[in-house]
Amino acid sequence: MTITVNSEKKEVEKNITLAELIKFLEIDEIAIVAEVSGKIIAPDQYNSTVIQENENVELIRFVGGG
Amino acid sequence: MGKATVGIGGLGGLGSNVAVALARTGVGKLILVDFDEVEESNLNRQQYFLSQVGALKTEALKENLAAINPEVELETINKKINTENFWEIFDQADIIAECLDAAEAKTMFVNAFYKGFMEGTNKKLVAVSGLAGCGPANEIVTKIITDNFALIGDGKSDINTVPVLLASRVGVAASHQANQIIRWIAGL
Repeated sequence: MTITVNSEKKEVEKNITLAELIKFLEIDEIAIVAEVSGKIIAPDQYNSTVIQENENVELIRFVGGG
Repeated sequence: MGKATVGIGGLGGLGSNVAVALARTGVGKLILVDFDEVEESNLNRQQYFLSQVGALKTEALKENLAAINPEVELETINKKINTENFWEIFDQADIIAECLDAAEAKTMFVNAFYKGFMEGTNKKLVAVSGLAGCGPANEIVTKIITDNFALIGDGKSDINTVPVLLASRVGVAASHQANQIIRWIAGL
């Protein structure tokens, strides 16, 4: 199915969980804050959050400084 | 303003500037959290004085804020914030400012906020990502990600990749943070 990740269309398997998606994209879980359809998802919910077709996922990567 | 409690995680370039702005504006209470001491190299951008080098940031900032506006209630917590103690530290805060410096710590902070976040409590978080170097000030923006979460910065300028020792935009980002906090308090 097609979803959007950081403004880019991606083809992923149906019923993919957020945890599986992050792994599929080869991103380190601890390096990002995940937003799915406008809601921030806490890391302990990654395994139980199932991504729907056409959903918009933003994986926010923080940079250092402050 | 006088009824709001704002938690400030990290009292460095961002946190000390946000604290001063909010103290001057007359916020009700500030929860000031940092485990570190004032160093001379901090003075180019942080709200401390030469005489305070070696002092705990929590103590030094408390002194400075009390001299600016004695009406503000000040709580200091001399701890390193982590996922386990996050909500213990910020339980009383209406709005929380992420003012840490390392990328991994910032990520931990935001994820810790959401781990214990209860729908309907209306707590808010404003975090910062990308302010290093002296790129154009106009590239520092405030993005409203959700009703409870704002993200400030240019999203890309990392202290590890931008080869400049100046931090001229820290104040710009801190002002964005303070402004967003004030807007939320005012119901905007």
